[in-house]
Amino acid sequence: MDSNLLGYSLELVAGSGCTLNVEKRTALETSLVILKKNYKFQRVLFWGKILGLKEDYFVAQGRGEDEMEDKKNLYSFNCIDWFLLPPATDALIDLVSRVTKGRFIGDPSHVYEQLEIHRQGEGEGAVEEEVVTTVNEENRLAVTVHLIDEDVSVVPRGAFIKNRRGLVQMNRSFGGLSHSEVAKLDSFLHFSKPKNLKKKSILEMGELNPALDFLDVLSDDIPKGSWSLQFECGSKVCVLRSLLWLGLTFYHVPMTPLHGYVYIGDGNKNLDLPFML
Amino acid sequence: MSRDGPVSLRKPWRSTFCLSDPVSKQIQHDSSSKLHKIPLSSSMTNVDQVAAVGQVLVDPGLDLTRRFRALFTLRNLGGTEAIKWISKAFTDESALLKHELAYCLGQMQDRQAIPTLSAVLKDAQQEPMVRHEADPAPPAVNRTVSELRSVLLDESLPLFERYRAMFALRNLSNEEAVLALGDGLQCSSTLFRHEIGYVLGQMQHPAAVPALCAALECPGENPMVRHEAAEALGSIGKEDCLAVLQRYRGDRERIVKESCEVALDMLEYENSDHFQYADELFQPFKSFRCNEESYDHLSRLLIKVMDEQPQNAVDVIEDMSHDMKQGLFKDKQSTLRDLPQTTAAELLAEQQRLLFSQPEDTEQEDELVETPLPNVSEIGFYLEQAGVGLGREEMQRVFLALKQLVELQAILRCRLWGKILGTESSYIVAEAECREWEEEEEQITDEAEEEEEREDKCRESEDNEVDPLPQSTYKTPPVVPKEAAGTGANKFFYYVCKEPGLPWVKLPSVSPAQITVARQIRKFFTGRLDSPVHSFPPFPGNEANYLRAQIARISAGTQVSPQGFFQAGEEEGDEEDEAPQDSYEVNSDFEAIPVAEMAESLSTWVHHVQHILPQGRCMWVNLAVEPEEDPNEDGEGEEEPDEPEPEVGPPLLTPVSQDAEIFNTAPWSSKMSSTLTSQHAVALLRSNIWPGAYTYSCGKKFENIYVGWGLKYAGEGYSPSVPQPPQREYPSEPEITEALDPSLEEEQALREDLEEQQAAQEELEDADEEDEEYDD
Repeated sequence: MDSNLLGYSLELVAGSGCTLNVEKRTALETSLVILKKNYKFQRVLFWGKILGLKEDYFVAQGRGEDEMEDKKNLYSFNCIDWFLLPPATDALIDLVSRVTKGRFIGDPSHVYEQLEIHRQGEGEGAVEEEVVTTVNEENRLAVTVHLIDEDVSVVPRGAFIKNRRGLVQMNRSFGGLSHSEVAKLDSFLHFSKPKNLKKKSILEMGELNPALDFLDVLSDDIPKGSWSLQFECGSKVCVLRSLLWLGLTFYHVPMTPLHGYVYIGDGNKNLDLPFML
Repeated sequence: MSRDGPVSLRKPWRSTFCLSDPVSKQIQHDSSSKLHKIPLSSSMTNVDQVAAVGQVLVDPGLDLTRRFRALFTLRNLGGTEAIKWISKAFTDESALLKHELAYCLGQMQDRQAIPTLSAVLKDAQQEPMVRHEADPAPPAVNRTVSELRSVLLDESLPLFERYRAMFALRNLSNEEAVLALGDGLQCSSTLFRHEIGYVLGQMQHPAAVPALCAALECPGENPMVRHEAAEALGSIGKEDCLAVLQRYRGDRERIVKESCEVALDMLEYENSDHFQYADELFQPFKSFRCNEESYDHLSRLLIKVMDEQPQNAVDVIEDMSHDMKQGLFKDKQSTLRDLPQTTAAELLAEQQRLLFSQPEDTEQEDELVETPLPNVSEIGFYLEQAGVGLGREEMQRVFLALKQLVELQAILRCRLWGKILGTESSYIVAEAECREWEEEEEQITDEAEEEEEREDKCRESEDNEVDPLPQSTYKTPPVVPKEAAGTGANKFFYYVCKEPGLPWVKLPSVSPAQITVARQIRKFFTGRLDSPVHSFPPFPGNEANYLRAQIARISAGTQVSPQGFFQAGEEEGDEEDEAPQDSYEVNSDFEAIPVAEMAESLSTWVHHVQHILPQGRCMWVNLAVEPEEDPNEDGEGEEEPDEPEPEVGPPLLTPVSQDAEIFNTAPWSSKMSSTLTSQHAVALLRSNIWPGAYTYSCGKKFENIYVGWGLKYAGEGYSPSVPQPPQREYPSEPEITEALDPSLEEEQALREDLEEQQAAQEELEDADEEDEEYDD
């Protein structure tokens, strides 16, 4: 959620149970302004919080000219001092997914170890080799934030446009979804590189607007029902919760351009989802 | 059609000249005829259709107004057929109609009409009025009003001159001219008076009203003059004209009566905002508000009428015209608005408004009696400090809803337990201590009895059968009895509502079976209490039961308080040690633990809700000791090897530091709400086993709240329990096991064996007999 509207936005997503107290809010409002200046971001978002056993990571996201490509994630413990997270490369994602499990500790230098036995050769001449792969929690955090953004970051349809240069930018004339649109899951899009879009038939593509519909639709997610859409705060705000990443809450006030998402959770994907529906 | 509604062109129904219209002003000068006629497209003049209209005209049984409309239609259609039909109508009794027939024939300016008109003129049987209309009209002259007036009123002058003066006055069309013509109504010639009446009608000047009224009201006046006066009044269409017309509607004179009716009809027709009589609109002027030419519109309308041929064309023609214009109308944005739908927000606001209704009488009793409602705003404040909550406004609504609950139900104490998120909607849960335990219990016993009855019936039906089916040897394990309301897992009642302001629903009490199954399944809540829980192992009950079971588990796991806040109840001191205590009371000597210490050490927090045993109860029940009522099962009970070991949980008020780790995860995380102003911070305890469960403590105050999905931390991943292996159908015994058939050799060998055995036995028997003999 945009750091400029932090207090208001947090009230709207508070139905999920997590808020920030006034101290944290004011600290964020102060430090994110400085962050934006130092890193030359166009926009700074408060991304969320990952709950560790000892400490919690506060995560902010800076965005450059292209809202989708130029992203940088930073973390902090006290909401004042921010540290840049390393980029989540494919190799790192693979490593983290193999090595780490369980809850976050809250210590970026904590090292996760995984003992793997590699066998070389065959039969009696096989040589068993024990390989210890390690990854620290900072990398894990970077990968987790990246994966959550990949899987469940949400924007309402029309809030972002792809301009002629191919840059994804905020649509300044976005006036919000109507009350009837907001009740449907296909009015919301994944704010990440599309995966399903190319699979669509020409007939389906014909109804799309290339400037707006360059993203995947939430209603195509598998399994069906991996989102919970509700109206909260006296039915004035539409709230989407991901059941895949429990803790991700998206809000949009119909007929206004206000929207945003925040993740406040333990940073573990809900792999049990198919059993739970 | 215009965007603002139907356009009335507001033309007098019969007058040729619209004084405000520049186009018709030109017509005024260059046309001496009564009407500027424009032929319709040839497609319209179908013989059959003309005949259909003609039939209406000549039918004396029909309404006069309909016949008039038919006449005007025929006139506009023109052609031989139309003239033929109009000519036929001269046999009618109504002088008014015939008069109008002649007038129309004259307007048609068709040579074919001449024979008819001359015949009428010659026919002495016809009323003079009718014959006069068959006469051609004189031209106009240019003079001043006073000159014209004197010519008009001069009875000595030839009628022709006076006619010219009359038309000249009409063309001047100012008030003076109108008044001059009004004076003309006093002339001696009936014909002339009648003509003046008609001209005044054309002029539509309100100044003519008094003179016309006088003419109409004069009973001695010739009916024809009165008729023209009536029609003129109708075309002026003022309020007072209407009154006069209404009055003379029942006149003795048929012509006057009919004229009034027709005039009123026309007036009504005009005022109804619909299109007027066709004759007026066949002029190709552009209507000033829409680009649509009226002529084209009417052509299309008539084509539509002819295509569809509706039964009651006259009655529906306005609607058809309206529909057609709407069909042509392109820009739909500005006029077509959606019906405003009542949104969910509006409905909810209506419901929530009740939360804000002022109490009727604030009694003084409140000070004496301890209120069941906690200090909600304080709790909200501390929760926000701790970073937990539902948002300030929502919290306020929830607390007002709690107040409503307390007012409606007899509740001893009540607090906000938390919120459980569901996929479709969420549950707000209130925990309450009630006074009415009895009702609940009665219901339970009733249910149990019903179940027993059902089972008995089943057995009876089985006994009645001649060849009883084999009975299953499976015995259901004994059901762990439910804990009584007010104890153990059923210590409190829980009320849930979807949104603050919506009605609170009381959850049923929980049974041990529900708790044990709830431990094995992992399901999201849907938000509908009556929805079934599809799971394996099957959950006994619907979502309300599942919700209640999870609430019991969460409460038992996460309800903690600062150590020393509660102390063990003293009343049960006599009982043996093994019985776990389930009561506690507030320690009045409690001294606040410093926040820093509470945030540091988990041993300063204690559970104040009883642990739920694996059995699904807080108090263990020995199921091996069966009640003596069942004699059949006694034998088996004895056979059981030994008494089951009683399950024992940690006693009440055990520090949370003794909680077990699951999945290598510390069960609790504690911290302070603020590091900057730690002296005023609150201590926060977060459960890692039940994500979403929080407790804060500050001084002597603490509160537990749960906001989450109602699911326990499952570590690596949940694997549903495997279904039990299928039961074997029957025990495998030698009787029913298959064996190979013996071969011939084997059979012979067997036979020899048997024979040998027999022989040996016989020998033995002989020996025995001998022995016996010896014994004796």
